[in-house]
Amino acid sequence: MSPATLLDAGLLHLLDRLALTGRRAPAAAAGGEHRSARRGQSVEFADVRPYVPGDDVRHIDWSLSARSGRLFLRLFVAEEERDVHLMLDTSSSMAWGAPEKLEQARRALAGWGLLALAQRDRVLLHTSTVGSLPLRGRGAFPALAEALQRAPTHRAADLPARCRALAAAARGRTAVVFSDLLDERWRDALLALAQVDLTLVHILAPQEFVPEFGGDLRLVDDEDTVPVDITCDAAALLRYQARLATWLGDVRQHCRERGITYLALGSEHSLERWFGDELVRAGIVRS
Amino acid sequence: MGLLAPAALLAAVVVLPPIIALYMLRMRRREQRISSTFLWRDLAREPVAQTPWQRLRQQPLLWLQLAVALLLLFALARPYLAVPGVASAHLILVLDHSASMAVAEAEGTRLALAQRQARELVDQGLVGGRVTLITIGDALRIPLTDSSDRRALRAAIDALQPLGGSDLRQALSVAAALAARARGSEIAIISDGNVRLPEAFVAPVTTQFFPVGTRGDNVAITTLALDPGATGQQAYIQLQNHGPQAVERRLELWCDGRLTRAIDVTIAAGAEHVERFELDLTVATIEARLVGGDALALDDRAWASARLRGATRVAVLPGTDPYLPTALGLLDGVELVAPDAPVPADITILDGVVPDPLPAGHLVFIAPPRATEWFSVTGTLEFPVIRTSVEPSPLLQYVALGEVSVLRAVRIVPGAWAQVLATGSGAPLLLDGESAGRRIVVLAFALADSDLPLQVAFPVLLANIINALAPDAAGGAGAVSGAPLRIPVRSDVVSLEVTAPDGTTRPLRIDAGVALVDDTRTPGIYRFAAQRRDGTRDAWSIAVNAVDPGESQVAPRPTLPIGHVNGPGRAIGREVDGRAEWWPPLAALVLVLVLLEWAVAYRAALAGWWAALRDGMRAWRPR
Repeated sequence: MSPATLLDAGLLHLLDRLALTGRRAPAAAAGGEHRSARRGQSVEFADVRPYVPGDDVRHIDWSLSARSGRLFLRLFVAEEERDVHLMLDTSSSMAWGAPEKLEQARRALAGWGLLALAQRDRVLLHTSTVGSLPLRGRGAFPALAEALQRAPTHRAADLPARCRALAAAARGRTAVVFSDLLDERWRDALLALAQVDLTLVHILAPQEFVPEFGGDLRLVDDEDTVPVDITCDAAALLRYQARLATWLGDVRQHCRERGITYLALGSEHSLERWFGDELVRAGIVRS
Repeated sequence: MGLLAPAALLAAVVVLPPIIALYMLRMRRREQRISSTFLWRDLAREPVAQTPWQRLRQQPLLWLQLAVALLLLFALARPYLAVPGVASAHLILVLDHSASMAVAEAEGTRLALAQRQARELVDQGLVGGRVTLITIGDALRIPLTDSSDRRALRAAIDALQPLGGSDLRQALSVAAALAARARGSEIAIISDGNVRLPEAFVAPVTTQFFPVGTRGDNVAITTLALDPGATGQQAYIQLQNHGPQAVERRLELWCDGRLTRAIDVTIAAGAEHVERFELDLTVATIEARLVGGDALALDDRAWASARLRGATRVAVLPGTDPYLPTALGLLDGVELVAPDAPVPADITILDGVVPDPLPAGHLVFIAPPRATEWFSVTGTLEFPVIRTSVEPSPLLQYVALGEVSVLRAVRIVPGAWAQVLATGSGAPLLLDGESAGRRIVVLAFALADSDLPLQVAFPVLLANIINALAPDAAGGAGAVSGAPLRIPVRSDVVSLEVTAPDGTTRPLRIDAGVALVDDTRTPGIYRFAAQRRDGTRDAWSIAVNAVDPGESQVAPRPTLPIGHVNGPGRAIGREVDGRAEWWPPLAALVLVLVLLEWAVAYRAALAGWWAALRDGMRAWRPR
């Protein structure tokens, strides 16, 4: 999967001029997760760890190795390097709308991931199929795109469970969740990510704001929930829109109270404008 | 109250259960796929169940729909109220629109009141029945027979204008024939009662009379004539006060469109008043007007014309009887001509002969020896006693035939064209009528076989016959508006045209020596201009007056003396049960309930719209 099939040229060109602004010294560097430290001009010694084959021999601490009789590798803290966890909600509710919410989420996540990869962050993609896929460097973008395209939807996706899994992997780190949150346990899902530096990209379709149907209906979804019988007249639509506004208010308030960055994204919105204007204005990216 | 179609209530068994079942049956809904039902669950009014039926709950819509269905069923059962009127399977409605119906009553003209009554009777008659409409006035008409078309009946009733006289004889004969043909018929007569009734008429079915009108005050110009005198002309005006009180009115005389005389006259109640005015020979037409109002305005104006046309040419065959030429010679405007004259006579009197072929023009048969195409001769009558008809006829005006003794007469069987004016021994002795454009008069006895030539009645009868057969020739005798005007035309006339009082001129077709003016609804002077074959022109005029003299007696009659098979009393009563359906208020109530049902069904949306409207008004209101 080439980047051009997921992200069009205009968006790619825009993303080349943008960079994520979030900065936090990654504790993970001290944890020795990386097999090799990055080379750089201004590096700060952080720790040593045993040498494993494949590590850059130039970073072997020869004096310590001589004293101990074993090879040790010197580790440094690089300024740009951090872990960015990106989670795509692949519940069946995402595969709805015109344009489809899941497609918009894939493209937004790919754009976000490209920004992270371009500034040498380690990207960990969380989907239902790949679990946690670590990626580094801009050259890993095709793998990111392919993983996104392969991610199928799930009828009875358990959003809180997936969020708990994400929380376990991204504890104390940055995570971005792309979801419509259309799950009655959305609070549980967000509460599970309390220990994560979380950004929620809330994706909804225009048909969810203004339903395009009416009459005596049986409403069904693909998530094996109980159907809803309703007479969808003007009054019912008014009640639905009031209910939607209340729910959106609840989600925003929940995010505000728990330090979660809330970003709204309509499935019909232009991603160029979203990245280039809204995220810049929100201080998420800089040009 | 009753129900005309109570069986319709049985439909409740069929209609009401499905309505209730619809509320117990779950709605079959269209399936709509959405992203998640999460946000919709709180909006559903009822949980989803898989059973097709549900418990019946109290719902305003259900009760409203049941009420609408019950009201509609009740309306289909056709409830009615018993009202005075008619109730029959076939109503024969005889409606009088004669000139006397133009009397202005407090609530409108008598005709308007009669039309309103007729519309009510039609509405009642159409309740389970059909209606035949017969109108009497200028002519007997039957606009609709056995009809259930309410709109057409109403249109026919509303189109009537006050015109002509009131002759119920033929109308009742037709009504009786129609009633005998259809079972369950009933006759209703709407009139002011000033009608000419048949003798000894017995209605075969229930016959009701619905009188209209209350006023009786009326002064009429009963006669207006312009007669030639020794040195000039004389206008003869006869007035009649038909009212119960003496009245004073101004009488105006207009000569050729100019006001010439005006005098005030006082006429006692029920009395006549005669005025005569000497006029110049140059006066061609006169008009008399009574100034001031009374019940009937139509008879407050009258017209007459001077005799301006040449003499009526009369031939007598065989002419051996001395009486006829002598009497004819006494009449003004009559020229006796030879039967074989180059120009045929206008009137030929056949005294005891029936030549073959018959001469042209109008014919007067006296004791015809054989049958003709108009009548048969079947024998003779010995010493017949003359009995004249009770019906007035212009031929018998001022003629007392009852004093005439007859030795013998021929027994004549007339055709349908003839009106019998006098009978004797069960056979007609004097007939009058028209056939194929010809006026025919038949006297069944020879003058020599009676003492008629010795009676005063003889020249008067002869003058009346000449007047009737050539009305323009004997002194400007007028006609009544609405009735067709038959103009005898000389045989040498090649074209004839008429100018109506409204100024319109149109040519007339001459057929068998007679021209017909069929539209005489506008009273006044009708001017005729004829061109003869030799190029000379002839002009004369005929006055058409609005009202038959009999119509001026406008005092209404509360009853009609019509016999009935069940007793004469029934004819005057009108307390019979009629039926008035009252489905219109039911329909209005159903409409209100349907609107209410709509409001209940969409009450939430209506509330939303009302709130939006209110907010909009607030925003719009200047601060």
